[in-house]
Order: sequence, then structure tokens, then C-alpha cells
Amino acid sequence: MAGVNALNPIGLALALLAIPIVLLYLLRLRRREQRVSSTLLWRQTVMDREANALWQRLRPNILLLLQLLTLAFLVFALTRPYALAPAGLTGRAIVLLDASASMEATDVAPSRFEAARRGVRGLIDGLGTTDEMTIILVDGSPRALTPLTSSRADLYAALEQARTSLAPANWSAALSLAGALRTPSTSIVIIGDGANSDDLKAQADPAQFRPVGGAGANIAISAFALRQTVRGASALARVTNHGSQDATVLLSLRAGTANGTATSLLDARELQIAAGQSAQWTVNGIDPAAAYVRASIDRVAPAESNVLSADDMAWAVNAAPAPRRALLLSRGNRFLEQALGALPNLQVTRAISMPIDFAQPYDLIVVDGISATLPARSHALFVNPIADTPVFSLGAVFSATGFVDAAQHPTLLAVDWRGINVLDARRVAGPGWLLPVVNAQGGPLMLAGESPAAEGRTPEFERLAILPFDLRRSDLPLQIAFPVLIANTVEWLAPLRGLDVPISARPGEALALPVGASVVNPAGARQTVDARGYGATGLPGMYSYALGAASGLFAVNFLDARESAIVPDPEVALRAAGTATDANGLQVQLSQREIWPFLAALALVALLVEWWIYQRGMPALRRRTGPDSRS
Amino acid sequence: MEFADYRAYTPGDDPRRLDWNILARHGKTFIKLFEDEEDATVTILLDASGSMRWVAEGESESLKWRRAAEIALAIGCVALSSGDRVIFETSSRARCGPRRGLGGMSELIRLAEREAGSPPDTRANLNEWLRRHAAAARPGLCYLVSDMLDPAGYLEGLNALGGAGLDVSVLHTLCPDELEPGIAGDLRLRDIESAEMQDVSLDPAVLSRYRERLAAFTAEIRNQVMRRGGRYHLVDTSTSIEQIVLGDLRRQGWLA
Repeated sequence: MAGVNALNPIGLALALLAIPIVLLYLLRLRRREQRVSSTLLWRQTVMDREANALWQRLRPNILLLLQLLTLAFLVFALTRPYALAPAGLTGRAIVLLDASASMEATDVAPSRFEAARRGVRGLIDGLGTTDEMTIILVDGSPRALTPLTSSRADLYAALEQARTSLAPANWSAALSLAGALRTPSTSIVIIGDGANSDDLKAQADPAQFRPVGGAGANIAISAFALRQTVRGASALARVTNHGSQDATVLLSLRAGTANGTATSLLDARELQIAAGQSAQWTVNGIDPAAAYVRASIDRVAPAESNVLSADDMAWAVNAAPAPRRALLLSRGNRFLEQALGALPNLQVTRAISMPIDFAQPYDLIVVDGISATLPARSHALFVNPIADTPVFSLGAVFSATGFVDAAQHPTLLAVDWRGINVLDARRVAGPGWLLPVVNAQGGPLMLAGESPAAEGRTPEFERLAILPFDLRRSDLPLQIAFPVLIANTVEWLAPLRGLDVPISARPGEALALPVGASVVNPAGARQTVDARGYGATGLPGMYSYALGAASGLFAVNFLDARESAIVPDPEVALRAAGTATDANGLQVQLSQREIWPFLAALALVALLVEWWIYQRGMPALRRRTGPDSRS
Repeated sequence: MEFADYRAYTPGDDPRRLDWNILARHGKTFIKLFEDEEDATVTILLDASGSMRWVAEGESESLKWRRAAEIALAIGCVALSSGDRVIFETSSRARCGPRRGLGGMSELIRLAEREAGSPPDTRANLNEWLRRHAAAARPGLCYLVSDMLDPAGYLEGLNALGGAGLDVSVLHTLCPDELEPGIAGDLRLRDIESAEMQDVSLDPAVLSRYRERLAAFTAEIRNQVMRRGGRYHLVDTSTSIEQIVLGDLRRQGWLA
């Protein structure tokens, strides 16, 4: 609490009332007469004290002292003294609590977030019985922890549940949320570090801003990536010094295995980084067997240059996806070759007959106008089949190829068949699982199906698609639908082994993982992905996923230069002018808190004590004095 | 007359007894003391002023006066039994003697009893009384039993007694209310002897100063008496007469 000042200092003039009180006391002072054998020694005793005899008279009188004390309290109360105290909240209040990553900085012990939480706790303590408050936790997706409530217990409980997030604070969403809850009499208090809060600066509504934290320095891994080269993978790490003094950083790279447990040191280096600058380090020849590489800041000198640890680690997946192999059995079909060749991760081999010996099975076999015997369990696309197979047989040619309908099939995703013209096509008779996908008046123009698993028998095809017409006798290859159709068909017939999952994500980012995939986060918690995708990416580190035979890794990294720059924005800090810093390091708005009621209460107490002593006749004094004179 | 000793000169001493040789040689004033070959005269002076008649709270009679009278009678009794001539006089001018032999004892007791029943001498002046007594005194031993609480002081009286050839010893009798006052607060003190008033606001500091003043007062009397070759003893009147006479005075050699 700051010093005490007075709103009405002229009230001190009333202290002059002490003079008549003392005079009245002197006038009414009646000494009790006491006989003594001789006054000789007493006279000599008090002789040298006659000069201040007035004080000698006044000194032992406790009643006078109490009266003067009462007057003093009343006079001070009339001056309306006030103390500068942290401004409390009254009425309705909305507290926006910054929970962004920078709030984990430890430049305020134990952390900015804890200091801010204590500040909110102080606001809750100051609530009156009819006051209401709600707390909005501001992280990547701001939310109200409680509805507007006057229950301190609910507010305390909600506050205890609040945690920081590595996602940047979404101030515009938080302010929108606060605006929706706001009424004209509602006050908004923002408690945060003011770092990376451009939205906060732009907000127009009147709000108290209570910054927490100081000019915290931080060193962060600002970029980390693995690049595949002809000589293997190389890692690139960039470390940024966001502080105002030069620092020495020990950066190390470790390789991890797919199960995410064992790590081995690849390399370590000391980097000298000037204030406000970045340093880069490239390590070549990363072990191809490493499933991922982890970069970490192991040591910083001076230590106070790094008060935020969330950005001291980064992960990168060593992703070298194995390309799918496709065999095109054709005597030459430029359309097909181009369409297949344009697909990523697809290695196309063309032949006119089935190779005799191939060590690796093909992921996909495209048969174009050729009769061929395919290996069992093939994933095959037949274009213009010319001969029967053990699965299907060919029928008559039909030219009534007018489009009738198309089924909901993955191969037809974003494919509009209505504008496609086919000169003629062959009828195909197949098993029940081979279903027409596109129907024309004369028969199906495309069939697709997945062979059901049957015991004791190896299916010829696991997945089969048939286009029973010659591409050159249609305008399909000229349509925009053609490459889409081929890409869809290839993806359906031979899906990527690792699923189509990005290998890197930001904290809080939702990933479109396939439904049913099982994801294990860095803490070891397993979660099955539902239709909403996977959004539990709050924890930085390596995540592994699996769906059937497909599995893979992805990394969640807190690589955010804006959040790593944790120094409060001076423009926001300016709004906190006229503040003080409390014991938690939290800057608080100060308000004038009048203390006259307290002084008036003290005056009343002094008056009551004086009355009580008067009523009891000061027995203690009487005992000491002895009985009055007998004369 | 036989030479006995020297002592320092004090105002009031007979200049004829000065040792001029010592004065000439050393510049210091000493008087010669002689032992009277005749029987010694013992003078007992009992202060009967108002302050000596102080009746403390809870007392039915003045213990201070009673103790002083008992001391005076005890000394007189011892002197009479030693065959000395005894003169007994109070400040209220009651006088007895000179008497010799134990036959005078009853007369002393009657005088003391009579004096106890008489009103206090409110007009007493210690110096005046002692001067008057010195004018007709015989040289010898003099025992003054008094509280010495006289606004006019006591020095002139002591000088007069010394000048009359009396070796003065003082039994300074003070009661507990004088030695350790038990009063406090805003008081108007009334002197029972002179009826004078003194306003005091008593607190621990003032009481402390009183004790200091009392110590200085007794030390001054002791000093004045001893300079004149006499003895001094402060008597707390709450002490029993047996303790005073058989204990304190005997131990200090006042009584054989």
C-alpha cells in the first residue's frame, strides 16, 4: 500500500480543539488533599520541576489522554485520509486471464501465469456479496471458465483449473466473448503480460489492463526441419535470442526411434548468439534409421537469458515415404501414362506383359487393352479389357452409353460424368462384389469392388476397378475429370501406407486423421480419432498414430517467434501507467481507498474506553493513591 | 581536665579550645577535646513537634512518636544506670533533670507519658529550641532524637550545641510513610505541623526523585553530625525497640 494522503487536509485545523480540552481539564482539575508528616522533602523534590508543572499535572491523567486520542482520531477522520490500494471490482466484472505460452515465463516467480492467477484471486477476494464475476481464459480458443457468478467458491475452483496453453492467445475472440457478456455497468479487467497482443491494443472498449511480468529475456528454437537430400537427411536448426544481452547456447540433436522411447545423441554445439539475433546450425548425414530428430537447448549462459522453457525443444519427423509402385501393362496409352506419372509417390513401370520375376509386389497394376494373368491379391485397374479373367467375363459391345447415374464411390470424388461421351463399351459380368459405379443406358461404364475375405481361398483381386471401354474411343481423357478419376482410383486401389497425415503441426492445431486411427501423445495417452479429427495437440513432442497396418509419426512444435518474444509490448504497457507492483510482481491499478470509517471506529473505541474508566473511577489509580484526606 | 583527642573545628566551637600550634604549622583548624574528670552529663533531647506525632493510616496512635520516646527513655535509662547525670528535655519545653541514679527513671517515664498525652507543639522551631537549650547547657554527651524535618533547618541548632561543649549524636527517626511513600496521583499535600499545602502530581519519576532527595537529606545530616565528632543513626520507626536498642545501637557502640 502506498503512502496515506488526505482529501480534506484543512480538517487538521480542528486539532486546535485540543487546547480547550486541556484548558477545561486544568480548570476542572481538583487535587485530593493528602496529609503528610511534613512537606519539606516534597517541596524540595518538586522545586526544580515547577517550570513544567503543567505537564506534571497532565501527565498521569489517562482520561485526558483518551480524550485527546479520541479527538485525534476524529480530526484525522475528518481530513478524509486515503491510501492507494489495488482497485477492487464492484458490480459485474469480466476478467480476461492471459493463458498464452509466454505466461509460462519465470521472470516473475514462480511464473507469470501464477502471478496473474494470484491477481485474479485477489480480485475475487475483493468481491462484495452482490458482485458478479466471470473469468475468461484467453488461449488459442478463449472460453469462459464460469458463467457470471457471485459464488467465490465457483470462481476459485474455476481458477484452479486454469492452465496455460502453447497456442497463441486469441485476443480478438476473447474480446468478442467479453463483449457478448458485457453490459453498460460491466467492467473488464485484462490480466496478462501484454506480449504479442496486437488485438489487445486495437480493442476499443474501456478495460483495465493489469500487466504481469517484466522485460523477460528468452532464447528459443525458432525453426527446426529435416530435409531429404541425395546424401541422406540434413537437419536445420535456428535459435533466436529474444533478449537484450548476448548469450551462449548449448544446442543438441538427438535421434529417436519409431516407438518414441530411445534417443541417441547425434551432435551438440555451442552457439554464440548476439542480442536480438539468430544463429543457424545444419547437421548433415542424419541416420536414415532415425524415426525423428529432437533439437533441444540444454544450457544457456547467462541463465536469466532464458525464462521460457516451452520453446527450448523441437521435433522433426524423418519422413522419407516409400513410393508406391505401379505396373502399367499397355501397348502404349499416352493419356494413362501422363495421368499416372503426374501422381505423387507413384513409381510407374510400363510393360506389355507381366514380368516373369519381380521381387517386390506392385501396389497397383493397370491393364490397358492387354490380356494378362495377374498375381493373386492384386489391386488392379482394367481399362478396355479384351479377355475374360477368372473374376469377370466380357459380354457384348453396347453403344447406348448415355449417362444414367453414378454411385457414391471414392473413385468418383469430384468427378462429373455427365459431360463425358463414350463411343461404345463392353458389358462386364462379374461377381456380386463387383458393382457398377457408373451406369449408362446400355450397361455400366465403370465397375469397382473389393473382394470379400473368404476362408481357404486366395482372392485374385483385393480391389478391382474396370473401365470397359477404350479411352481413345471416348472424350474422357480430354476431360478435366480424367486425372481426378485416375488419382481417385489409384488412391482407392493403393492407398498410401502411412496415411495422409502431415508430419508437423502447431500446438492446438486440429489434424484430419482418419476416423478410427489411434493416436498416442508424448505423454503416452492414447486416443481414438472420431469424426471431428484429432485436436488434442496441446503438448509439444512426438505423436504416433496407427490405423490398421498404416502407422506414422507427426511432431507438434512450439515454433512461434511471436510467442517466444515474451517482452511485454510497450504500447500495451503504457496503458498501465499509474500502477504499482504487488508482492506477486503483478502490476495493479491503484485507487483511493478512504480510511475514515476505520479512524471513526477507533475514536468510538477510545471514547468507550474513556467512559468505562471514568465509570469505574479508575480503581487502579485509587489503589495507588490511597484514601482521601481524613480532614 | 585531661586531653583526650582532636577534632575539626566547626562554627560555634569555643575559639579558646583551638590548637594554635597546629593552626600555625599546618593552617588547619582543630580543637582539643578533654575528658571531664567529673561525672559526665547526658542530655537527651526529644523532638515533640507535629511531624513527630504523625499517625499513619491504620494506626490508633503515633508509632513514630512512641518509638522516638522509647529510644530516648532507653538511652536515659542506660545513662542513669551508669551513674551519669541525665537531663531530659522535649521541644515542647518539658524538662526533667539533671537526675542521677535509677530513681530518676520513673520521673523520665512520667514526663514521657505526660508529653504523649499533650497536643503536638505546632510552633516548634528546631534551631530555636536547640539554641535555647545550648545557652544553659552543661558540656557532655547530647542525644537528639528527631526527624529533623524543620523548614528552618537544623544547622544553627547543631552549631549552638557544639559551641556549648556538647558532643551531639542524632537518632534520626523517620517513619515508613517518610522513607517509602505509598501515595500517587494528583494530590494536595498538607503539612500536619505547619498546615502548609504543596501540590504534587505523583508518578514513578517524581517518587524516584523524592527517594533521591531523602537520601541526600539523611546523608547531609550524617555528614554534619560526624564532622562535629558525633554519631548518627537512621531509625525506621517500624523497627521494634528491642531491635533498635539491643541490636542496632549496641552493635554500633552507642550503648556499652
